[in-house]
Amino acid sequence: MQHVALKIIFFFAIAATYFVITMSFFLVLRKMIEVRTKKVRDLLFKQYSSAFANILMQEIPVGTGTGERHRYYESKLIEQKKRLERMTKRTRLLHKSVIRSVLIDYSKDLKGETIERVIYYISSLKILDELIKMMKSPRWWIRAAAAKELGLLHARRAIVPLTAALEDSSPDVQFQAMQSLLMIGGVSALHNIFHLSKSISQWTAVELSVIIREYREEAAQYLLESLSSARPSVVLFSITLLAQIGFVNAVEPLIQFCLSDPEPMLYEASIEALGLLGDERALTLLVHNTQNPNMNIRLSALQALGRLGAKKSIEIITERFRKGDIGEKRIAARALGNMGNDGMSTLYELMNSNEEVSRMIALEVTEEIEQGRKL
Amino acid sequence: MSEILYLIFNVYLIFVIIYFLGVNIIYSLFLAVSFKEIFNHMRHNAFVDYRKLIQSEFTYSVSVLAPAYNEGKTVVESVKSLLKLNFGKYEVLVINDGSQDDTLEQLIHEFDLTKTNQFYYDVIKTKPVRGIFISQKPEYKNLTIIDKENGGKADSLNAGINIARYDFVCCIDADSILEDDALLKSMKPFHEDKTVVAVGGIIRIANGCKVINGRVVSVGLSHKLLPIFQVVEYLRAFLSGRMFWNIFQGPLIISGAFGIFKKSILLEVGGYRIDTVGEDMELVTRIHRTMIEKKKPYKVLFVPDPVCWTEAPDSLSVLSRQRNRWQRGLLDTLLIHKKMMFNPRYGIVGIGALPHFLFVELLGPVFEAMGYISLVVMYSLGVLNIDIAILFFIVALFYGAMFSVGAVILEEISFQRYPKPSDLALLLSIGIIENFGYRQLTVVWRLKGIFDYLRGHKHWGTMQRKGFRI
Repeated sequence: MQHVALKIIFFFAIAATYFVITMSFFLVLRKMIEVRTKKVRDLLFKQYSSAFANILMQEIPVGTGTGERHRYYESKLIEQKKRLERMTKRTRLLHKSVIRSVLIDYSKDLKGETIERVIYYISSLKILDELIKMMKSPRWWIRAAAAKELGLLHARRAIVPLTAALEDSSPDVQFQAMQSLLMIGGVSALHNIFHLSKSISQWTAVELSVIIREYREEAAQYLLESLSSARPSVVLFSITLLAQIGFVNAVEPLIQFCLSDPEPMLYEASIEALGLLGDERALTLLVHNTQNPNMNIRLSALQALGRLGAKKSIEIITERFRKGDIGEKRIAARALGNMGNDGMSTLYELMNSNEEVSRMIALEVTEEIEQGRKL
Repeated sequence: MSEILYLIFNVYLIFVIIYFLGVNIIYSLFLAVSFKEIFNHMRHNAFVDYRKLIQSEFTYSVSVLAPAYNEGKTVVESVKSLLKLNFGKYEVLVINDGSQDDTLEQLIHEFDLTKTNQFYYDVIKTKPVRGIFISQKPEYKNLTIIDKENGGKADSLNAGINIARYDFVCCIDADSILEDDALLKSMKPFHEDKTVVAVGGIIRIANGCKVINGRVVSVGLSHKLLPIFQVVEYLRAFLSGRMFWNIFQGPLIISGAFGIFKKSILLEVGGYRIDTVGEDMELVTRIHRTMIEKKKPYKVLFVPDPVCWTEAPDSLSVLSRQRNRWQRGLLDTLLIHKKMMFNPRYGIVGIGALPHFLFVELLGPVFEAMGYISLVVMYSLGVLNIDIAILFFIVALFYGAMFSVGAVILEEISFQRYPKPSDLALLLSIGIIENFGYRQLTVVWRLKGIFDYLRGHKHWGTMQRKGFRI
């Protein structure tokens, strides 16, 4: 019995040793290949960068027709194409991938007719077709990489597969497609993005918000449109971004949205957004929500009133200060602190409150304000 | 009589062989799964632009909690380093746990602190707070110091949780070094998945690295052998061990040196337990337990690339105390949560993770020590089959080496933190050398930990650090 077991263990040990040796061998081999490939790629990159820079810098007379321009572009590629055809499949793949990197690199900085040339070369060298084909790969990381590159290449031909990729099973592919569609189609791509995206995770929201914020008020129309989306994550994203952009015209639609009885998470976000937008039109709704049984909504309303600085609401905020728990007292006190002299007078009065916790919180917040610390 | 002894030892030997086989199959599985998981992680990261996390208003804010006890020599540099993290909105809360030295004075002097009237409400009960300090200098506006009576690391962290302003808290050791982008990388899972409640990053050994102004500027290995053994151990534990549990409900340990939690979860489970030396493992196990019992969807994750550098013990006495404490902490946690053990109600945690910790991590040294003892006894009785013993030893060596070398390979194909080929070669050789002496020493320390626990020793002990500031 022992001997059999030992034989089994010994067999596994041999397998383990084989594994370690093989892995170590491949590790070293991989490192060597990596170093060599990188060297070759760097060299090729330099060569193609210089070759394409020459091609792109050659001037073409103003007013030349499209057909003639394309014939001219093609004439500059003949040599490159012939050379690629002579290569083995493996070498050709390497060269084409380098050419792709070079052209993507150029496409980031070029405009006008020159970018048209870049797009023509990409198309003529069948790089675009290959990237579009890659969008159908069963491997998500290949699809994501293709989506990213199609955006960088401003490939209008890729709008259809990129739009389809908004419904991809992988969030990475979805986001790369969103980003590329915005690069190619500009802010109008938001319509499809909001319409077709299954959901917008917080992570996608982080990435997308940075891009959309650059469009500022141009994006507002699409954000307002998506308030009626059936997907809560899309609505939440739009509400938050409308507030961040500071689009004051969103106040009325947001009030209407609140009146349509949305789910609590979206309601809370709208109250918060109304506070950030700081428009008195929302005052009645905000005051009403200081009595909301949902604590998060109540706190958002108090915070919003604080941001609004509406003196009319001092009484109701003071009431919440007296009745609320520590968290609510703190937020109410900070809201009062934002309401100028009247709010501060109330805070000073609350510092003499009979209840210890209220007294302490009022003291804490007063000190914060006096020291000019951010609330 | 000798026949009975012979029978007993033979039965024991068979048990050891089966145990050995089982453990090694588990570790092989760990390694294989970890390879796959790390590749997946790397692929996902290839498309991430972390700068957007800094720029976006959608990024969650974080409170960084750093408990400090008698850290007067290093606390200022550590806090300065924390204040320079690459992240959007975050605050740094340093909790002075009743230090006997000049920790508080150093902080007050360097950061121009004044005592505030901030109201301290202990949602989680803690030792009394003597004062809350903030800086008068605008550049340190996100720094708060809590001065409290001594209550231990767990109590300090609880005080920090009570006062934390943001929805996520990052618990670290005040004397560790967080890499600039560590918060960015470890906050990503919370943004991707709302059910993620805790994330742990990787702890790496800073001995031998060049540290300037609280930043690791060049990675290297120590000139001493002891920290290098620990480098391999840490790689094995983090890259292979914790990565494996990610595919289930997540690891049972998030290192006390670097972990991020949803604050609401910490409040829900009542914060850290103050009566255990394994408070980090106990907390994560309790999170698993609470969430499963309440039938709430949740995830605990280990992320392999946000790095926290820590100084490893470079003397046998300090290392032995550390390992002793870890073992006591493990045993304590397993006893506290014994109800979960083998209980299918707790899913893979109950029937997989906890039994693994019991049989492999806790009892492993016991079985190994008994193996050594039985070899000696069998030899002295003249009943030892020398050939089999040698064969067994060689096999054990191969297996031990395989997992260590496997972890180094994982590191090399993924993060490649050790740029020098000589360092890589040294790490690979340590994977073999550690089986001669070092491994046996750790067995002794861990056994002593169990023994001390059974004798009722539940204290932290002292951990002297030399500091790696330059």
